[in-house]
Amino acid sequence: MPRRHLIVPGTGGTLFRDSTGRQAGSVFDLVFDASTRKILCCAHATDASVLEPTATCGEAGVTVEAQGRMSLAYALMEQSLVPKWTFWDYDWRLDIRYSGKKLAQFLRNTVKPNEPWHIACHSQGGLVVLWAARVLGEGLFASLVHSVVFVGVPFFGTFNALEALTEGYFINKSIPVNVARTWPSLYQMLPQWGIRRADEPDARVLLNETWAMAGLFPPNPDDVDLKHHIDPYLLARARASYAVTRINSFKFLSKLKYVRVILGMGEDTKVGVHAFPKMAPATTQDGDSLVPNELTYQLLPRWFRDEANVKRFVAGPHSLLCADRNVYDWCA
Amino acid sequence: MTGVLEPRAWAVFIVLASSTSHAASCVVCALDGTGPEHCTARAVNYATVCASSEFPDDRDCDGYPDDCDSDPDTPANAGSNGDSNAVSNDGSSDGYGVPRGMNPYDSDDDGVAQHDNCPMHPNADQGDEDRDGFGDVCDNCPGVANADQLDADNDGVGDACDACPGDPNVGGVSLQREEVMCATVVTSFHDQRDRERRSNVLVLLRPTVTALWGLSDSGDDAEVAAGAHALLTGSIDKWKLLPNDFAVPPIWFWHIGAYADVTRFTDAPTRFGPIVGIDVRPLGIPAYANSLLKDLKFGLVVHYMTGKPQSEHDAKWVQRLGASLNIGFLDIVSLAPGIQTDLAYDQRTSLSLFALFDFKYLEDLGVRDVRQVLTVARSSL
Repeated sequence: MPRRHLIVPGTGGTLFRDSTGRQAGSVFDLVFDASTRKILCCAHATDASVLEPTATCGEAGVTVEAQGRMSLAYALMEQSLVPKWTFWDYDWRLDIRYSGKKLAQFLRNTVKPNEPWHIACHSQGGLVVLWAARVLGEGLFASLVHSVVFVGVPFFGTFNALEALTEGYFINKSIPVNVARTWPSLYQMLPQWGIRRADEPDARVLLNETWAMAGLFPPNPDDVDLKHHIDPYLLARARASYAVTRINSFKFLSKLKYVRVILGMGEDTKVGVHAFPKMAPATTQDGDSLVPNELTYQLLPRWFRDEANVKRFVAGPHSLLCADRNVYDWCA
Repeated sequence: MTGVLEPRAWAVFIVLASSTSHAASCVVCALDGTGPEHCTARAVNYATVCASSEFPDDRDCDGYPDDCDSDPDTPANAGSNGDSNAVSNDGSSDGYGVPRGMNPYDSDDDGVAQHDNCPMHPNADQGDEDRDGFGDVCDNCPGVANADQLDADNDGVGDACDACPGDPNVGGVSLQREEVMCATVVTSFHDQRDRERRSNVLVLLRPTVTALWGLSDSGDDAEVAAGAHALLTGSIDKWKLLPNDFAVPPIWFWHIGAYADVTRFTDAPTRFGPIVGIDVRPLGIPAYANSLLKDLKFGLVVHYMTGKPQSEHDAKWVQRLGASLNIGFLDIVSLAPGIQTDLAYDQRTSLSLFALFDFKYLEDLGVRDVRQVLTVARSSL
C-alpha cells in the first residue's frame, strides 16, 4: 500500500513567520535577537477547556504563524526525495491538545483513499500525535494513518520543561523565563515522575503546592509577574490534560499497522533535584539529554512495550535525533 | 501576562484574628502579607507558620487561629480562606474564595491542603478504605493497599487488584474471571503477533549458537559446539477474539525443528537431528493466570541426535534419543534438562540440557534485522 510520509517536529522545530511572510523568530533567533523574544509569548483563557490561544503578546499588529522548519534538525527529511516528506507546521508553544486537534483536522482534510499517512514524530510532536489519535479514535485514526514512529518523545514529561519554567534554561537559556512561562506546552511536558526522590508520588510538579513551597506560585493568580512566578492557570491546564491522558495513553494507537518507538541513549539526562526550586545538583540518567531512556521505557504500558517495536540508539542529543542517519533509516 | 488577559478577580485570604463568631469578625490577611500590621509577620505561608510554631493558638497548624477555624483540629483549610466548604470556592471570586484550582496549597479546592491524600481530586472526606495513603477517589486499588500505585498496563486499575496487570482491562476483573483469563489487547502493529492470530502456524528460521558441555562418569566427553536450527512453530489452539478489541492468546504451542552443529569447539564429531516439542501456558487456570507464574511456560522436548562416533574405538554412529522437561520465561529464555539414551551403544544413558534464548530484547536495543535468534545449549555425557 503506498503511503505518504508526514513529519511532526518537536519543540522549536517549526519556525515562525509574520504576516508579511518574513521569518519572525526561531529558537536560534532568540539567542541573538531580543526583539523576537517579545512575540513568542502567548496567552490563553483561564478556562482549561478552551484550547485555542487568546492572543500573542508583543508588538501590536504583528501576528506570527508557524511555518517552515529548523533545517539542522530535519535535514535528512528535507533532502529526501524518496520518500517525500510533508512537514506539518504547528505552533509548539500552544496547548498540546490544541495542536493535536489541529493535526486531527489536517489528517481528516488530507485523506486519500488507499494512501494513508506514515507519521514520524519527534519530541513534543509525538504528544501531539497521541492527542490527535485520541481526538479521532483508534478506528478513524488507523484509517487515516498507516503507521507511526515516535522519536525521542517525552511520553511522561521531561525535566527540561521544569528547568525552563523554573529558570528559563530552555535550549541553552535562550528563552527568557517570562516568555517560556506563557507556553502551555511546557507545563504539559512537566515530568510525571517524582523529581525529588524515587518514592515521591507521581506528578507532584503539577500541583500548586509544589510551586508555592518553592516561592514560584503567585499570590494573586490574576496579576502574575511572570519573571517571578509561573502562570497558575497554565499549571491547572496541565493538570487537566494529565487527568485525561494518564491512563489508556496508548490505546488509540492499537489499530495502526505499525508503531515504533525510538529512544536515544548515551547522553546525560536530568531527571530530578533534591531541593527544588534549586536546579542543581541534578540527578541524571542515561538518555538523549531530554528524554531519559530506561525510565521512559519502564513507564510505557507493558502491552505497548510488547507490541510496539522499541529501539534504542546512541544517536546524539535530543534535538538532533532525526538528523542521525541510523534513526532516520528507522523513521522512513 | 498582565494586560493580555482580562482582569481576573483575586482573593487569597487568611483569616487571622480571633473571634467567637466564625469568620464574620475575623480579621482577614492577604497571603502576600498585605493588610493589617500583624498580618505581615503571619502571612508568609502556612508551612513556615507551622514549622515555627509561632502561633500556639492554631492547634492544627493550618494558618487559621482555632477560634476562626471551622475545624481547629484538622489542617483542612491551610492556605485557603478558612472556609472548608470547597464547593463555595467555585471560581466566582466572591471575595472569600479563590478561583477554582488557584489555591496555592490546595490544587483541587477540596478544603484539604496539607497532606491531601488526593491532591488532584476533590475529596473533602479524605476517605481511604485500604489506608495506603491514597484516597479512595484517586486510588487505583481502593480496596487493596498499594502504596506504589503501580499500573503496568496503564488501564487505571492498579496491579495489586488487577486480574491481568499486564493487559489493559478497564474494570479490572469483569473481562476475565469467567471462562477466560487475562485477555490481551489486540493490536495490528505487531507483525509476529498478527501472523500468529491469523494462523496457528508460524515458520521461523533461526541461526543458532549451540554450547555443549557435559560431564560423564569417565570425565572425558565434554562437548562444545555452535549450530544452526531451523524451527517450525505454532499454536495448537487459536487466538480467541473477544469483543472490545480483546483476545485470549493460545494455551498450547508446538514446535518442530532440525538441528545441526556448525562448529565444534571440542574434538567430538558433529551432531545433527530433529527436535520436537510442546509447550503450555495454562492461562485458563485462575490461580496461574493471576500469579507471577503466568509468564512461565512448561513443556516437553524430544530430540534425536546422530553423528560420527565419539571415539575412534567405536564403530557405529551415535543415535541419541532424549526427552527434556522445558521451563521457559515468555519467549526470552527456556531451560530443558533431560535424559537421553544412545540406541547404538547398548542404550548408554546420559543427561542433557537445552537452554533457549530469544533475542527480542536485543532487537529492542537496536540490533537490526535479527528477528529471532535462538541459542541452544546442550550437555550430554
